[in-house]
Amino acid sequence: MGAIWDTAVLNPMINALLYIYNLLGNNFGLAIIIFTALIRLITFPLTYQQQKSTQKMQELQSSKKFQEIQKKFKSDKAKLQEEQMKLYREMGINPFGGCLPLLIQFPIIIGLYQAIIQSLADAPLQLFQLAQHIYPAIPSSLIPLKSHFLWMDLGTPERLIIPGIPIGIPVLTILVVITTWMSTKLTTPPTPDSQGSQMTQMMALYMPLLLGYFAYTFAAGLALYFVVSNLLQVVQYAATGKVDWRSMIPGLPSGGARA
Amino acid sequence: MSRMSNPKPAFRRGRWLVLLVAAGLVSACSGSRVGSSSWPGLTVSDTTAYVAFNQSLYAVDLASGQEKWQFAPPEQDKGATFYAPPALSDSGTLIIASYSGVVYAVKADSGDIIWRRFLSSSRLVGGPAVAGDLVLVPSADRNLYALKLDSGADVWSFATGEPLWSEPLVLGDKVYLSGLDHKVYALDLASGRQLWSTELNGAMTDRPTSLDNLILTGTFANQLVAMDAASGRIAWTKHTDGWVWGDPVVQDGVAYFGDVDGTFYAIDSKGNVVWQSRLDGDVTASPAVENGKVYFVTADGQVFARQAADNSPVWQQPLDGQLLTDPIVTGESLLVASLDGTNLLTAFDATSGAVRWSYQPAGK
Repeated sequence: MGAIWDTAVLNPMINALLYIYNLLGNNFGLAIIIFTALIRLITFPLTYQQQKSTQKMQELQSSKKFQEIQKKFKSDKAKLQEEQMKLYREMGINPFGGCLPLLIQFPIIIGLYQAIIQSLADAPLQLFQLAQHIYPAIPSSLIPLKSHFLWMDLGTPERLIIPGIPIGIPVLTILVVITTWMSTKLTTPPTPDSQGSQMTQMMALYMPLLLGYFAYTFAAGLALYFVVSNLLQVVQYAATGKVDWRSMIPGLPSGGARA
Repeated sequence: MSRMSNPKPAFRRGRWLVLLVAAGLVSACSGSRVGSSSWPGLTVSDTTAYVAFNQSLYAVDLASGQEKWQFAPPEQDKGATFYAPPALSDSGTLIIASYSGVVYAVKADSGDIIWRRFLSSSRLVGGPAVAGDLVLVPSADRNLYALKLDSGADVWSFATGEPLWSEPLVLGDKVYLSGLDHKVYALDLASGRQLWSTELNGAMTDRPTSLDNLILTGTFANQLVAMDAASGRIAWTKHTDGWVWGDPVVQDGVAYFGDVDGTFYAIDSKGNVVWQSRLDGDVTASPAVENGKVYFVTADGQVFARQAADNSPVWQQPLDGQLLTDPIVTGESLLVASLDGTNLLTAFDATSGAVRWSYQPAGK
């Protein structure tokens, strides 16, 4: 399994990162940004399908027929589920259509994280492992990679040291939390049912905290990926014309997803 | 709005499941940051093997394979790890370098601390070297530090362009240093003043070697490079199949070394191939050469003994774990340290290849 993962995911990612790094004059921060944009571009059909599926589901849940079923079978959960599934079939909706594309993206996130960490190789064992992954076409003169980008060392958790302030400020972590909250709020359409709405609110709370924790704990390169990926997700979503900017302002009634 | 009793829509449940899986997977892949960062560092005296590995340094009796003592960092350095091969002085002081940037001078016969010196928060990956009354310590903070052997006080430091992972080579009043910054430096031992530097095409992770009036170093640009020791001028270059990680070892005018692509070489002082051998596994460790035999290990766990003159086999033994540490011949034994193997250290009979003893720290 490890060998398949390396061959199919990790090796192409490491070598693509190194190739871009070489093209960009040995700037690993820029290489991560460009690589993230490419990954977003390649996975756009999946993201788009996920967005469409979520939107269709939301439209269905707003429909009169769906609401009627909820009322009619509210005391018979098994029947309710059966009727819901029937309705999904009738409308041509795959109830897992929203999360399958999301699931497919995880190997990419994990592969990218491993690729960043292994490429930066700040200890002998990691560098030895990197040697096993590099294609012959990649010039070995690139090694070791220059891990500094702006004020950050991309191989370690980021903290901005400001003279006079005794603790380092985790700027990237803050950016990850803000951009994750933004992208979750903007790209998750409001749902008519209270339970669904609760879920959306929890997603908007926990996703930024979870990714913020990763950003605070793990290499800054991963946090940089999260920030760029979140921003590009919002841009992609906005390009499809479905962003409801009002959903970001608490207390303001949402306009709902626009078709 | 009335509270509805419908079950959570399947796709929303699925999304939460996906999030949990993601959290678990990303946490799991952070595991590469935990555990060993490197492989054991090995040094020997006439009677004792010193193995730096993970959170301790172990002193092992060469005759019996029994542990004599164990050095663990003091409370103030709790969590420090050790991988650099320690350096031993003629006066019986052992210099230990930690991944927390602390250097310790301890008594070689007891492990009692003589002095402790914090250099910087960067790792000390390369082994320190003792030169007269100085200790030279390469640091991942890009500096080579010269400290007083008896006190740890600063004498001089020399800055390079990238982290230093390689032990310096001291020859007379000169220090030769290979860097990850693709440069080889020659320094004046007394002052740390740079005498020359030569830029090569690749990074270097191990100590350079001397052969006649040449300085040899292997690079990640798939090369063994020979430089004039006085000027740094490149005399010749030998291309290899892969990165050269471990420094060559010289005997009778021939340099022996392997590469991470799995080829082992014997090269003379003119750069001509005496012989070369294709192996199944990668070689990062420098070989050991003694009594006309060359001993080398592959990362995937094979120990080889060959005739140094013509590569004819003497013996070969498998060992579990990854073999990335330089093997050492001492007396009648060949010592091999293993990463993640059943035993940390194994002593083979250098003549027959039979296992004399194995050592594994208690409770590990």
